[in-house]
Amino acid sequence: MKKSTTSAIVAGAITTALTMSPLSMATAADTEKCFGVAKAGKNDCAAGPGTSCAGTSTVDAQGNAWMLVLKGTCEKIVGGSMAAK
Amino acid sequence: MQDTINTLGSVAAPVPKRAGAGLKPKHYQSIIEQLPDIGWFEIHPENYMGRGGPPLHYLERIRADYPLSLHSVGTSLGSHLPVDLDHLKKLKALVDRFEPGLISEHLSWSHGYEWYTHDLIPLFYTEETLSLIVEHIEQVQDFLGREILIENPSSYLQFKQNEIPEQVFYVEAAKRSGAGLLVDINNVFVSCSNHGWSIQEYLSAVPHELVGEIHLAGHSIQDLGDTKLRVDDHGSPVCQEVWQLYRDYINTHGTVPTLIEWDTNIPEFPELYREVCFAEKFLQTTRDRYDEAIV
Amino acid sequence: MKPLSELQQLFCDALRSSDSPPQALLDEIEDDGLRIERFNVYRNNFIVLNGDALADMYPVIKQLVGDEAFRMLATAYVRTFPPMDRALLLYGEAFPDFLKGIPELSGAPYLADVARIEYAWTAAYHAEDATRLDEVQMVNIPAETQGDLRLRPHPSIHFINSSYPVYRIWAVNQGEPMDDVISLDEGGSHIVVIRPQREVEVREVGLGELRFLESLASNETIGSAYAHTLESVPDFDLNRFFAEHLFDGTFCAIEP
Repeated sequence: MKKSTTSAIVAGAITTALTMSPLSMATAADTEKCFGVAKAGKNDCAAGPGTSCAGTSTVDAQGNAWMLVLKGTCEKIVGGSMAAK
Repeated sequence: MQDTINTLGSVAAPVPKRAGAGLKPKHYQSIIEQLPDIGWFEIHPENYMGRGGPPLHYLERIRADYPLSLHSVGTSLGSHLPVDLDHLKKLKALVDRFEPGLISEHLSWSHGYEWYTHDLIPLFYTEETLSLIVEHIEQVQDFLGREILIENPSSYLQFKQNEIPEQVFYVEAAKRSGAGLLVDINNVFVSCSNHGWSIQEYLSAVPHELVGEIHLAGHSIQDLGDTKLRVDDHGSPVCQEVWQLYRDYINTHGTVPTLIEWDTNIPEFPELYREVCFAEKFLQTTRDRYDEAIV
Repeated sequence: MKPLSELQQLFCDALRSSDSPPQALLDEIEDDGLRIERFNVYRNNFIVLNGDALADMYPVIKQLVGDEAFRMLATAYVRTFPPMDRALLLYGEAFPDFLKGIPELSGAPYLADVARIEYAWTAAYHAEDATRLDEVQMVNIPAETQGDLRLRPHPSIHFINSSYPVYRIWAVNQGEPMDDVISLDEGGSHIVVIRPQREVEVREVGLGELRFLESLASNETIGSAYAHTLESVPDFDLNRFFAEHLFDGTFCAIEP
């Protein structure tokens, strides 16, 4: 495609976007709201790892043993190379 | 509840001699919505060392209504390695931005060499490590331009090299560096119980005029046959014995800003708030008795 | 007496190892008959606390493989890749590739890409803030020069290009355990993870949108990014893309 054609398409698309976008679109999100909640459900009010000064009472009892048995929702995923299993 | 909110704005608000709570992301929303009557909040600055994003916004929002304390876990004061300047810069940036009333760190280490334990490992209580940690505390204080508090650790083992009792080492480290003390009464209870030390001896070695903050938390018990090891997991309410030690301490010495820490099995906000109110009730009793001011 | 540096290194090595602690370290610990158990509180803390951090980063992987398998993988990961930073915020960056190398997981080859979405989510969450490109910044740019300018995507942007339907796998594993059966034969998915304002968004996008954004992110001009995108996706609809995303925070600046 010619550069001039590309430029025209780009300019056209930007004009369309400008026409469709109200200039006064509110940018200040409502700070009362828990900002940062992902649409698909993960509640990021408790998001991701962090550190603390506490120890743990959960005991990791596995030591050197290694017997990896998958018992989660991956059982609901089928097809592809799984079929060969 | 609403009446007690003070708009502290940008002034470094002193942490009042009231009960505070460890701030957890899980509770951001409840706190912003309900503005509970809590004296102050404490955070681990390392959890706010991201480049941006919601955690810093939440903190800004909450800081507008409450005094704040920074309780660092990443400085590794007792490490043989030099204090990390990059980390201090990040810490200083948070101090400048959020103007905490208190800053504290642990009497321990977590950086042995290349990597980080993210768990607080006990020191060797020798003259050599005492000089080392004093030097490191001084560096941190010089860099931040203010005093920090040093917290006594909870521990599960002792080193044969130890030549100074923990409480003596702890107080000496503060005295020589010009730091204050953060007394974790649960840690005193846990460590004394794990090592067969005397709680009274420990606490009576602590000069009250250096104490700037108290920590309270729950712990769990690991059964090892005849011996019980108490593990400082901050995963349950404060136990009766620790509440009693706390009441005795403030009855004897007067009120101190007091933090409830709850870091694992974190409950819904009302349960944490109940613990904070419990501590506040004891503080109120002492305040009334001595006719003390809050700040 | 050993120097402090040696003792601290000895302690760290023993924390990380799964063998019983070496005699050289035990010799340093007061012995009431329980010194191994006492040391093991620290080893357990090291493994579990950092493993918990990994679980906080990868909740979907945990749900997919189950709690027990996740704990095993986390333990192995913590030993292989101990935390290299004083903050734990982004701990677990190498976990997707680590999963790829586990022979027992060869039947679930999509796991690494699902993990990439989860890492991108947290990285986007902590990424620097940037104000969205607004209409006023665009209005006065002459139409004929627009194609020669560069659009800067929000610094939180991450791309995942997978040959498995990992968007669906990720999405149905948010919250309650899923009921849907997903077939890997559904094909691949292209994903953009971004925090345009305050919320992290995980968007499943067409190949065109992915290519266009990737080109812009690697500093190409709008015109050349568009031309490149058309090479692999001839029907890429720039009008539609800009209408939806030019001013929604996906971009934060327009530059020469």
